[in-house]
Amino acid sequence: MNESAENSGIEKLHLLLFTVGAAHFGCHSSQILEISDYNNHDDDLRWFHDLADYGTAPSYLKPTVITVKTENAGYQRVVIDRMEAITEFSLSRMVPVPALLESRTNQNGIWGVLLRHNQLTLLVDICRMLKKG
Amino acid sequence: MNITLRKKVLLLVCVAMFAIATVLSFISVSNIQTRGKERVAGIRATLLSERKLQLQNLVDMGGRTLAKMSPDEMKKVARNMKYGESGYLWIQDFNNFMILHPDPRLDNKDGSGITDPNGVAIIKEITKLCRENGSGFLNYAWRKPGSEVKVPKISYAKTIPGTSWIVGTGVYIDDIEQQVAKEEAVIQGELKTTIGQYLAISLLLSLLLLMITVFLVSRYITGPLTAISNSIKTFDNDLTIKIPVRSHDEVGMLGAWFNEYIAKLHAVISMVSTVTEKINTNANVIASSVDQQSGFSSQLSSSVMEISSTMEEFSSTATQIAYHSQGVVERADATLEETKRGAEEVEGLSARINDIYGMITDDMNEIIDLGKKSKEINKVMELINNIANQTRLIAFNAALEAASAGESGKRFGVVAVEIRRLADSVVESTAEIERKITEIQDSVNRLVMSSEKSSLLTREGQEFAINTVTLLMENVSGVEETANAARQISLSTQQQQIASSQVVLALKDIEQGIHAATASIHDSNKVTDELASLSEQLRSLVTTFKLSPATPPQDPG
Repeated sequence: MNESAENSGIEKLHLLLFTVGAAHFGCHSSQILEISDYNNHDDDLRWFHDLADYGTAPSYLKPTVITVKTENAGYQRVVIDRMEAITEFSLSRMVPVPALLESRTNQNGIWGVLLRHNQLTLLVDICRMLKKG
Repeated sequence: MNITLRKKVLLLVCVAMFAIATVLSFISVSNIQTRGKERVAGIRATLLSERKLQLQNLVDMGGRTLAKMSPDEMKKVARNMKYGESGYLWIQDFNNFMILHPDPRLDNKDGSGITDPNGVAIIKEITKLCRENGSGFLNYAWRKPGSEVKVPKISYAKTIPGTSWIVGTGVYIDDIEQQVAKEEAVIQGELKTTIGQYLAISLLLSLLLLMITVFLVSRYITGPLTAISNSIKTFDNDLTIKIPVRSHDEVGMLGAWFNEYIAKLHAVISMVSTVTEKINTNANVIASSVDQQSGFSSQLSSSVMEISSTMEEFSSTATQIAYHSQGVVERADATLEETKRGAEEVEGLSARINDIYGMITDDMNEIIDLGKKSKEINKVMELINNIANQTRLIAFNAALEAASAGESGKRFGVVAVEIRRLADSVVESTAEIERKITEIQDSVNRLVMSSEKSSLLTREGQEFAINTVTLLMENVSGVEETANAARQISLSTQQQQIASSQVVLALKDIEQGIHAATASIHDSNKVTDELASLSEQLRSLVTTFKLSPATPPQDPG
């Protein structure tokens, strides 16, 4: 894992990387309790695009359910698209939030941007997104 | 006799007037003469009546006087009773005896034999009158006293009442004739005067009537007739002339008829002109048409000659066809045998195709089974893929657990990452296998479709072979029919050969007919040329008539 080897600094982030539509997201792995297959018979699911205030629903190629820890020792099941990796990153790889997204950082739970393979990965706080939603 | 109409009319009027004047003069003269005669007769009658009345009065008076006397006294008194210069009375009895008469030659004598120059027995006649009527007048001729010339005389005698004697007296009436002659002379003078006056008046009236007649004849007869005559004289084919019509009598009607005749002639000449133009045009068209017909006839003649030649060739060809048709019959028989053999060969071919069809069907079933098995492999691959996904999911959860375990879970996390990578590799491999299986399935499908197509083509080939056999079998009968038809063709060709010979003869007749028609067309051409020449002459004649330009030509049709 090159990214782990690379991230041998002091401050490190342990992130679950996934995609929803064409966008890449990452959340702290400590917020995730479990990962399971999506079953459309489940009825207690929240869809990630609803939490992230997408205008229109994107197409999910390989929907996966993550179980997110919430306050009061509860949990909430959220549907994301294909998972990419669970890995560590150095804080030095974080870049400033683009001015375009800056106004939405607090509203949509976006708390940072990570540059990875020349792609921007938005770091989100799913717990805060669930609390807001 | 070259006498003008005016002279004739005037002569006729003169004759008529002369006749009228003559008749009127004759009637007038006759009337005058009749009135003169009546006047003379009246004068004569008047004078005679006066004399008779005078005589009657004298005799009545003498009779009444003598009746009262004795016979002697009667003689004496009667002898003395004289009147006028020579008037006297005589007495006689009914026996014609003259009792008293101043002439001694008669006195006291029998007077039965006394007659006048005309044979009148004077005494007897008087006796007869008195015996029958008692009195009466008698005309006769008698000598005047002192003269021996006998002149006309009238006597009246009457029976003396109470006696058997007759008393009578007479007067000479030659003076009456003299007066009548004078009166007749006066009447003749008046007659001559009247005739002269009549003649003068008739002459004057005749002259006056003649002048009036001359005027009227000149104005109403000869004038218009002269105008008509001058118009006709100066006609010169001018159909636009009009004679002025000033009256409604015969001359006016003659002028009107002349104008009407000229108008009709104008219309007729206009029509003739139009017709002539059309005849001329049509003659030219006919001439052109006849020329074309002549050309057509020549072409037709050459065409018929070509047809004759062609028909002769046709006849020769028909002979060759008849010859060759026999070869066709023989060839058709050979074809029949070959067709039968071909049908047997095609039946064998059909059996081979049927075998091939069975083999293709078996191969296709094998291929379909292969496709089904490849689908079963696909199911296995799906199973493997699911397992790989589950493994991947487990690897993620393991990594998640390793992350949450901190440093102690790092080694486990590495294992989890490797397991996930292995799972990803399996997924990729299964995806590759799925693609390959899909390709195999596509190939199988294409092979199945190709085999189905081959099977279909084989089936069609088999059907074609069957159809070919059927056709060949039908051809057998067809070839038999062909052979029969070829025989029929041979027979028909022979008949055709005969018919074509007849056609050649008929075409020669037609050729002769066309020659005759060509000669007729040449004659027609001459006639048409003559017609065109005549129409041209007629047009030249028509152009000699002067026509009104305002009059539209009338269509004769």
